[in-house]
Amino acid sequence: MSPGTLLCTFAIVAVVAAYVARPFRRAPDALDRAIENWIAREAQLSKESES
Amino acid sequence: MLIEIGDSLLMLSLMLAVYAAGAAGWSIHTRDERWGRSAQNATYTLAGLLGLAVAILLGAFLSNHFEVRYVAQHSASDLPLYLKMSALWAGQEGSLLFWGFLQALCAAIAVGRPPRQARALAPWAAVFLNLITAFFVTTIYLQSNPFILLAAAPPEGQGLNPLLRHPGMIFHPPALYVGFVSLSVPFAFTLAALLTRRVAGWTSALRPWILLAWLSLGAGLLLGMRWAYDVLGWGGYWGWDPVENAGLLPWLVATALLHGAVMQTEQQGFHLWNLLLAVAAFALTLFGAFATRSGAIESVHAFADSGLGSYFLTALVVTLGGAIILFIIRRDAVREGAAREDAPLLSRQGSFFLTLTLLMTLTASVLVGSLLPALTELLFGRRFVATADWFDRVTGPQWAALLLLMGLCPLLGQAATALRRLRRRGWPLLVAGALATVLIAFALDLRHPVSLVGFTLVGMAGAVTLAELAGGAYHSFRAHGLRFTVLRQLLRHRRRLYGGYLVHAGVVLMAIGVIGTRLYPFSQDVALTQDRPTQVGGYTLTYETLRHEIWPDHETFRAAISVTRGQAHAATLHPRLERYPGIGQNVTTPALRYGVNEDLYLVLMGWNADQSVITLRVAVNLLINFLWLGGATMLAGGLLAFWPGAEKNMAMDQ
Repeated sequence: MSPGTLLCTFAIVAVVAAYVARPFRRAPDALDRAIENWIAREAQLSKESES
Repeated sequence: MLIEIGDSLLMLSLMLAVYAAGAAGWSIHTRDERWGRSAQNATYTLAGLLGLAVAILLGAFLSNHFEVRYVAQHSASDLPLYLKMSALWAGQEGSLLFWGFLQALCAAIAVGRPPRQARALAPWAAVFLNLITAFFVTTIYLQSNPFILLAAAPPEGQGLNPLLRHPGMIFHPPALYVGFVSLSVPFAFTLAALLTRRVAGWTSALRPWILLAWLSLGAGLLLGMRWAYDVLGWGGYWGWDPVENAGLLPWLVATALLHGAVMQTEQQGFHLWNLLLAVAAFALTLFGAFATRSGAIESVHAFADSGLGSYFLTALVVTLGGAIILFIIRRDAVREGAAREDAPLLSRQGSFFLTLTLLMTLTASVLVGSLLPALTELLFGRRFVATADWFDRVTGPQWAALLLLMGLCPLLGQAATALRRLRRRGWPLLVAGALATVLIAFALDLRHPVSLVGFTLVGMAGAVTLAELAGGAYHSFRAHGLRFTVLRQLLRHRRRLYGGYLVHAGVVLMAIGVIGTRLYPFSQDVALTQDRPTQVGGYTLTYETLRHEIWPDHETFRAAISVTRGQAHAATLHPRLERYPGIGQNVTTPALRYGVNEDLYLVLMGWNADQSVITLRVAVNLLINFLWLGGATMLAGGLLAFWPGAEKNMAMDQ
């Protein structure tokens, strides 16, 4: 198998894998929301411990 | 490089098909939608990858890549473009790749857009459809890979089999394959229904798939018949060859399934019938592939034995065995669904039941006849071959009974009013139709007793079908006068119903063609001396010349025959014989004089040394054009019923 064929095959595999795995990808806004929630929770906890 | 990529695509497709089936199954088990969506994406990608593989192989044909073994075996650089395209499915490997691609495409459409009433079954259907695609890709990759390269590229390909150089061959195989793959959808949903115990209320939702299968198989069979008539040069169109039968069998079952789906739509039961028919239809497509590709059955249409038979036989056994086990395990659910299937025979339900039964006995008869040589050899050590005459005698009465039912069924309503409707509306119509047809047959001197029975049935079924077709238009005319918009609305709202009646009209016309060709056959081999008129089959034939032409890959002998009917010159026909020394094949191309009542069909068989005498096979095919007209009408009716929008108006048909 020539290097060109290998490269093309890998490219096809990468595109296919990305598309097939797409439903498992976490949406960016969901990630942002999770970080914001975590910060808010931490802030709340530190406020409670200070008081 | 592209060919190597094609090979890699097959490997990738195999892994993806297994993943798609597994992910769909896992989504059902875990109830995690993400796996379901991933399986869906894999199904779409699979269709894309196999489509790309087909495109690469097609590209190899178009650019004469003879280093690819499959291209070298089935193409040549001087082949016209349309034949290079049809060469893609001229051999075992390419045709199976194309079939696999269509299977993946069908799975992608069925999984992506499942019918609303059957949406709950879609995840399980996705599992089975992807398993079917996985089977095809495995078979292609392990046993029938079209991307195998030769050690050294030959300067020229071997060319396409001369028998396949016909425009019909561009559409005939794809039409059959579309029909075969469409039948996998009702099958997959049937297994899904049995697994989920939802056996009722979904078959009618798959009607478009069943209709597509019926339409494509019908078109494929009709094109195949025309190809046999134009190319094979034996004067006929249907020889009950096992491979022809392999296409007919699923079509017969699809016809039964369509009728069963209509009954289910009308809430008349038939659930069990439909489940069984969906399984039988798909199993018969596998049987057809086995018959064509195993070498177990002898036929002019079959591919050479290449070890594929065991794959398809295993698939057939697994399909039937798995379905039977599922039916046994889910017998309670199936029995519940079948609870409403009691109806008197003299009713619409009863006549549908008889129609389905007849279609099944016909299927069984054709199947037994096709398997008879192989079975008798296996069991008794002696081959008993079912001849065309055997098939005609066994199936003829069954076709006749179907024609009778076609005439009676539209006249019957619900059981309570069936007799009254038949007495009031039916008898005059049936008697008038039968009398008119028999009188026309007498006038044309067609007096064979069996044909008169046939014409009686044709007249009855034809009269009822015409009355049903014209009835709506007549009522509209009485209510609104001659208004085109009203008629168009009527046609649009009752598209399914009129499509069905048009199919029936097509069957009636085809029956006339079959009666004419089967019961009034004329075929005679005659020796014609140059410039000496000879009377044969009601024509006067005069052999004028025999021309010899040399082409790059073959030589042609072309006779000129002057045809006279009565005193008038009717035509000059040119039957020819082509010799392909490279592949050691002779091809006779018949010459035809078309007529409304009959075709004159001449085949050049041979000649003497000084070419002063030629031997011709002369066939006169009575009423054969009714067969082609009927076939076209039948397909037009199917297309009318299939046309988008027909489903929306379903309720108005009832």
